[in-house]
Amino acid sequence: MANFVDTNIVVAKVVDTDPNHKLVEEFFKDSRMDIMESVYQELRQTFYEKAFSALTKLKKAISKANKMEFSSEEEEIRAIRELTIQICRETEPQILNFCEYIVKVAEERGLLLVRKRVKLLREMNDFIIEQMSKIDRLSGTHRIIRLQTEELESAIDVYDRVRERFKDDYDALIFSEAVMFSAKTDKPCTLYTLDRNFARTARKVLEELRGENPEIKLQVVYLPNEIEKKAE
Amino acid sequence: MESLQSGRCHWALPEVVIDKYSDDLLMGVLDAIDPYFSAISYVRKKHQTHRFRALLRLRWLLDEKRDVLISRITEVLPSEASRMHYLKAQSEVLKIFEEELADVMDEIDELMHILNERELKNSIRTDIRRQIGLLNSMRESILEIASDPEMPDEEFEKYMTLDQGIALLIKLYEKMLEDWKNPELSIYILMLSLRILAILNGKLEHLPLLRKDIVEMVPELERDASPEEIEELIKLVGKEWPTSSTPTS
Repeated sequence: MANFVDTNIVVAKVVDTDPNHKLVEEFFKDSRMDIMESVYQELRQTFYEKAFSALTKLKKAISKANKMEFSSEEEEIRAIRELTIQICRETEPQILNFCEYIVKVAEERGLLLVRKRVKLLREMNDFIIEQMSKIDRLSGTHRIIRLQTEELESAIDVYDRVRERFKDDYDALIFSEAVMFSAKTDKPCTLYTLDRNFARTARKVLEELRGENPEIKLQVVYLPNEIEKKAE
Repeated sequence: MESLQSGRCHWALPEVVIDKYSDDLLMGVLDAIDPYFSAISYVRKKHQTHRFRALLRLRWLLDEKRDVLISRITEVLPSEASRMHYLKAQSEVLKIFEEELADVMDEIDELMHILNERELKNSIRTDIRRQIGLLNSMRESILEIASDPEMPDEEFEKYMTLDQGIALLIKLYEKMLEDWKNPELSIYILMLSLRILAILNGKLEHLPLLRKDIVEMVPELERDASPEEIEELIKLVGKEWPTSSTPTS
């Protein structure tokens, strides 16, 4: 049996302030989560976007600091730190944690100074790449799913066909990978999601695909419904 | 307005610098297509100059054919970032080089008979080290411009993406120094070099694709991380997750 999960579920499991955290913990208490490569990819993509955006705020803060005068380096460091956070609060509060993260790393490395800006950008770009590469292989009760080359090829064929039906690349990719796995195993496969629209679309597309290839044994489940059902 | 359309003016880098970096990147592309390209200095050292005439003129040929090569390569560069798309593009790129540099490619085949594995390994490692040095100086030039406090955000992001692409390319090369026969690394190095080459030459439509390449290729670095660190990173990403799900009450 395979229990595929979408990115929302992985996030809800790891982040204890997520509104669905308890529900996911409870549901997967006794069963293993199967996390596909496409889920990690979406997490990496989001990490990249947020970190990139945070770095842009930091650069803005440095530009502002460049026009100011400071009596000491400590004062300059503090000003750049506070300006970055302020710019972030005003323009993109939803990545505040990323701005704090980036600023903290830069400060620890002694790079929050106008004169060190070339080194700062260089090191932060390296840092973003390195950290992003680590978003992989979440351990614990999860199994990592990886497709072989030929399977990947078929998954991409599925992806090319269904991409337009989903709201973004990752929804389509996660769906396609799950379809591929279910086609190569005899065991039942379920793809769990916390996104009602994704579940609805996926079921519709699945029905069409199954008409052509009965080997696809995947079912897509909207997790809150499943929990309700169990409770009854 | 006219200058905006002529590609090169997208960068504040001088044209000669762009040309030089383009040649460097093209040399890296050739090494990634076939490691025997790294053996040119060996040919010179062993006084095989009469036998490999085209190969020794390679730098000059690349300089002459730069525009044609870049325009043909960018046609076949994939618009999706996945291994499958890369593989397809790789064979197309090889075809282009076989057509444009036929004599050189013939000599590369001939070189295979005279170079042993140890010599090949040494020359590819020497080439990789040189390539890393060149890429590092490319980063210096780019970052110098990007760090200008007056640089507008949009411009800044363009330079940053380019620098991040080169940063990843350097890291892939460093990995290749340990594992020079890894075909996976060669494909990634090839695609990344070509993408950067295209962008540097004004094909800015490849910028968002470079970002996708980075996301796709970055796990190849296989950096060690503790389970706690991985969880911390996912927590960082997951906070304020743009979920479309309705939290159940």
